[in-house]
Amino acid sequence: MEMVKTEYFSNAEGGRLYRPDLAETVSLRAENLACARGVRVIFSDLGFALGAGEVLHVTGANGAGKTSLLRMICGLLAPAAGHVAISGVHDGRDIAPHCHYLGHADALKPTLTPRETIDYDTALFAPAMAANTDDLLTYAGLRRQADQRVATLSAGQKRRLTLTRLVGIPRPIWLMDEPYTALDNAGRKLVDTLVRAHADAGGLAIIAAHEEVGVANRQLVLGA
Amino acid sequence: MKTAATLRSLFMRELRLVWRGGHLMPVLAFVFICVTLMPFGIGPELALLQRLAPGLIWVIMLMAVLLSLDRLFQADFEDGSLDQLFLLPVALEWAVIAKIAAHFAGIILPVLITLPVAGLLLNIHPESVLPVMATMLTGAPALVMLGGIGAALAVAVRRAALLTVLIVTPLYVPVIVFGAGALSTALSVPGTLDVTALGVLALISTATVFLAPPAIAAALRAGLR
Repeated sequence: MEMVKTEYFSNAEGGRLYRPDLAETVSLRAENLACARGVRVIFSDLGFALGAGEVLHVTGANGAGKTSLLRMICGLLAPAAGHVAISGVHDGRDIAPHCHYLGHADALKPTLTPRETIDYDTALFAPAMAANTDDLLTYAGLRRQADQRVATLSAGQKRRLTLTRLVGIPRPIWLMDEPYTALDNAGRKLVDTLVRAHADAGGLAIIAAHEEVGVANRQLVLGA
Repeated sequence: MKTAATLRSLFMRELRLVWRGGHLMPVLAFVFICVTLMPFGIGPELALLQRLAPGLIWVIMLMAVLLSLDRLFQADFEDGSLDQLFLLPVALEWAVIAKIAAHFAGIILPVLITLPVAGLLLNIHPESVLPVMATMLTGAPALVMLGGIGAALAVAVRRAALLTVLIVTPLYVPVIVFGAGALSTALSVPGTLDVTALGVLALISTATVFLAPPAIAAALRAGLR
C-alpha cells in the first residue's frame, strides 16, 4: 500500500505559501475590562496593550473567562465595565470587521462542501477579493475531500477547514479559542506556522489555550 | 456596492442551505396534511367549508410560517455561524434581511403557491386560486418578519419557545383579521379582490419589512453570550 504523505498548508501541489497581505496593522488596548455572569464577577480590572506583531497567550482555569475575553474584544459580548480599543476604533461593533474569531463552535455548515464553504467565506467576508479556493484547499490538506459534504469530514479536518478562513481573508486581529483542539501534531504545527506568519506580517493574535503556546511572546493568566 | 455583493452571496448561501437541509418538505407536508384532514373533521357540508376556508387557510399559513421559522436563527446560534454574521463587513440588519429573504424564497414562496391549490380541497372555486395567492403573498411578508422577531427572541431567551409564541401571536392578529377579510371576498365572488383589505395588508407588510430587521438584529445582539 502506498503511504500518503500529507502536507498541510504547504506548497506541495504548487500552491503558494501563506503570505498574509494585511492592508492595515493595528494595535489593541483593553482597559479596566470586567466580565460578569449574572451577579458573579468572572474577572475585573483587566487591562493590556498589544502592538502589531505580538501574540498573546491567554490561559487560566476552566471558567476563568478566556472565551468571554476573546468575545469581548471583537464585540460579541458587551463588557460589564471598561472598554476595548484598536488604533482609532473604539466601538465594539466597529472592531468586529477587523477580527477573525475562531470559536469552539466551528461555524461550518454540514451540508456544504469544503469548496463551497471557502467560496462563500471569501464572497461574504471579502467580496472584493478573488477566491483562491484551490490553493486554500491544498493548504488545508482537503484537496481530495473538496467536493464531499463537510458532515463527512473528521473533527481535525473540519478544524483545518475553519483555518482557511483566517488564511484566505486578511484581517489584522486573530482571536483563537482553543485552536489546537482535535488537531494532530502536523495540524498543531500548522496553527503555529500560520500565527507566526501572521505576526511577522504585522498582525496580532490572542490565543486562549490550556497548553503551552510556542509562538506566543506575551502571556496573560486569568484568575491568578 | 460591496454590501450588495456580500448580501447576494449570503442570500445564495442561505438558499442553498435551505435546499440541502431539506427544510421545505416537512413544511409542505404539514400544509397538505392540514388541508386534506380538515374536510374530514368539519364534515362534508360544502357551504360550511367554503365559509370557514378563509380563516382555515390563514391559520394553516401562520402555523407553517411558525414551523419553518423555528430553526431560522437557532441553528446558526448553535453552530457558531451567528458569531460570524456579526463579523461580516456589513451591518447585522442587512445580513438579517438577506437571511429572511432566502427563507422566504426557499420555503414560504413554495407554500404560498401550493396552499391555494391545495385549497381546492376546501371547496375553493378554481377561479379564486389566483386571487387567494395574491392575498396570501401580500400578507405573508408580515407573518415572516414578525415571526423572525420571535425566532430571534427564542435565541436570546433560551428554552422560551412558548414565551416567544405568546409575544408574537398578538402581533399576528391584524394580519389574520384583514387577511381573512380579503380572502372571504375573493372566495365568495370568484375572480375578485378586496382592494381595501389588500391595501391594509400591504401596509402592514411594508411596515414590518422596514421595522422588523432592526428589532431582530437587536434581539440577536442581546442573545449573544
